[in-house]
Amino acid sequence: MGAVRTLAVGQLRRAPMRTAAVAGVLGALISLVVVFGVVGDAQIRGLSGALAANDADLWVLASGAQGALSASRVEPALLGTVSAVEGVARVAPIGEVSVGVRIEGGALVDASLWGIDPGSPAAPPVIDGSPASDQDQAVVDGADAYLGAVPGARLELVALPATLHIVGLTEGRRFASIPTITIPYTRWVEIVDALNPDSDEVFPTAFAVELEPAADPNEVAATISVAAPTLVAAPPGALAAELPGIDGLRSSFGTAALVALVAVAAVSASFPRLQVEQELRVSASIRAIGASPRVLARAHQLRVALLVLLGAILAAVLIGLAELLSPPRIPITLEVRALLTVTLATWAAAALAARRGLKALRALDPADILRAPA
Amino acid sequence: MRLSTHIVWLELRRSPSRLVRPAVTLTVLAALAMVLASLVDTLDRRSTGVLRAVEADLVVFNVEARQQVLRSRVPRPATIGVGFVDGVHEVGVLSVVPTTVTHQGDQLRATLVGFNARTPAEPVRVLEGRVPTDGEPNIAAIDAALQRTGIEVGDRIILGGSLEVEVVGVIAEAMFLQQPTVWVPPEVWARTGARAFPERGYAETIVGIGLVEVQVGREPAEVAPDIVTELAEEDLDVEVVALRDALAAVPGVSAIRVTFGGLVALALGVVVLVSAGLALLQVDQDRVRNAELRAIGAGPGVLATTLLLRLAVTWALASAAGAVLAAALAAAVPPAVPLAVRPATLATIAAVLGMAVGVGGAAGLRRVSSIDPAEALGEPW
Repeated sequence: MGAVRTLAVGQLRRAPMRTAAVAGVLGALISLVVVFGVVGDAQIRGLSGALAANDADLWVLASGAQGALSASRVEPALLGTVSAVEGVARVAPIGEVSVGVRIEGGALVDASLWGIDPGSPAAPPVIDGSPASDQDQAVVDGADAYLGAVPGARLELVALPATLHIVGLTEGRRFASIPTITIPYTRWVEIVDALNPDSDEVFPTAFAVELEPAADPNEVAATISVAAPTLVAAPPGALAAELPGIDGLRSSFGTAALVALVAVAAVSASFPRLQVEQELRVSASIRAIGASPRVLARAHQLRVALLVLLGAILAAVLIGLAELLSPPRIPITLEVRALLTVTLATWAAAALAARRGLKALRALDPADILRAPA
Repeated sequence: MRLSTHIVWLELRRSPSRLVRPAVTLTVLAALAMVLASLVDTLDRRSTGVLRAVEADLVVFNVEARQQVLRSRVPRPATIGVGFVDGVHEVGVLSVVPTTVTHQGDQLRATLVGFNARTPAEPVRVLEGRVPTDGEPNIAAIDAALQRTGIEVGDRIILGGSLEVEVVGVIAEAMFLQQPTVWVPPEVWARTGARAFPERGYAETIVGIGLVEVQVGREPAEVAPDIVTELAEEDLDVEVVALRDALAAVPGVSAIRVTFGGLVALALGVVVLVSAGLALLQVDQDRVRNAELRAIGAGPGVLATTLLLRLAVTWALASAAGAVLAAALAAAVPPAVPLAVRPATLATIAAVLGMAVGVGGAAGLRRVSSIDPAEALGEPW
């Protein structure tokens, strides 16, 4: 094993530029695959977290909305109908509307304004501060802290003379990738009414349902649709997956990560093979002075493993740098498990390719050293 | 050049794997870059197709909408007023609302677009049949994305669960926020929208956005402030932006461009790095043979031309194969995956790849010129 290690490390040290180049390329490709996965997940959470992570057992939407929250309007009178369904413990209205806000007098930004009472089954958990219980209080998602949305900050609704005060933070509850604000439902109704002066009535966007402990969500959802044919009920996680654009975005990031992974495998497979071919004469020399093909093969595989390891370390550094330097809108984080998975896949591809290339090494005649040109 | 071509040709015949192997690696990278660029392009186009389907110079929003097509509610008098502003050739209105389309029992999500025919709001590319004209009751045109679900000209579809209309035409794909679109006269849009959003009420006097075509010889950037000023005199507060800015303001588009675009740029950087590295490795691999060629009289110019020619062949093979792979993937993935390949995207990526290989080749040329013919003897002198 000592000879194998000496040969492998020696080869890496003798050609530092080549070692750095191969490790650099592998590191860049590994980091690319990891970042695609991480950013894809974060983007999807930012688009649909308000539903995907919601604690209610079921959400009830207008069936005609086809899962599009912005198109859903449910008759307030149907709240009683849903409450009366067997297995339903609690029902509460939910409202959602897009508004323009200024956070602490800063730049005008679009925000998703949610009307959810603190005691509602759909209320977001508060991780810092307190729930929004008064009319002018709001809870915001902590992902937008970089915009100044922190407890104590002021939110001005630009279309109305209305100001809200942030009293609490939640996490993982963003919607539509914009700042997400939760206020009491009655306050939300007042705001939507003021935004639409011609309207006669403000309709909730959805109902949140908490089930009795023994109730089956699927059965209750089916019963709700029978009791009120204009409504459809589903777990919020399922609705999150159905939101417009989510499918396309998820499949885009998935496709990108998959194609990048194939590219990593292809590139990590091609470099070891090229190196085996390039070093046939050196290998023949080492064979001529007594090294067995097995030692040579092991030395080569060890070198491949070291190169992949160097690439993985470089990838971790690159991702760490990207995490520090990228704007808050691009949520890059170093996920060790993803890095390990991609590194193992890369190493497997490189080792397999090297193994194929090493067939030539096994057939190597030490006498080649006397024939082959330099 | 003839000698170099001959050398490359002989090499291709004698040992094709020497050229094909790096081409395969480069093909995978080319396909990666082409697929990523196509994903961004398709996501962008499927979000903004409605605005790309029309030929307008300026877009008029109400100020509160902050350039959001879905939220914009411009009073009808404002759009009429725009028509009288100096420099404006024509104005039309376009309004959108999320809806559902039911066809033969299947229901799917779509965006309903109300538009003025024979104005800048009319979609330009009609693939089949015709587009509805103002005032025509219960007819609609669909975009190609909706046609792919099986709806044809002459079919009857139900909008918003209640209004039955006949499809009279198909326009080029014009998706909005990843949804296919149905194009109807403004009155049909107003009725359907009122049912979907009761809090807004029935309001034919409120439209979504105004689309303006300026007179020939006038600059849109000069006309835009005039529109704002003239309407402000009538107490109508509007925002007028170029079509390109309206496209960028569509929800999600800037996020797609920043996030996905950033990652694609990163991927392209990696592809450039790997391509250049491959070119350098090729030089290293051929060092011994190049020394032999130098020893038997080939000049550095011949070696340099041979290297560039070999890299050009590798690049051409990789670009062509990468394009075929990307197109095949686009054809194989389900329609939900936003991957549509456009020749312009493929050509751009192939050009970038060519430049990367060229950079690697340029670095390799220095090494080629420094090859010592004595290296052919086995030991450096």
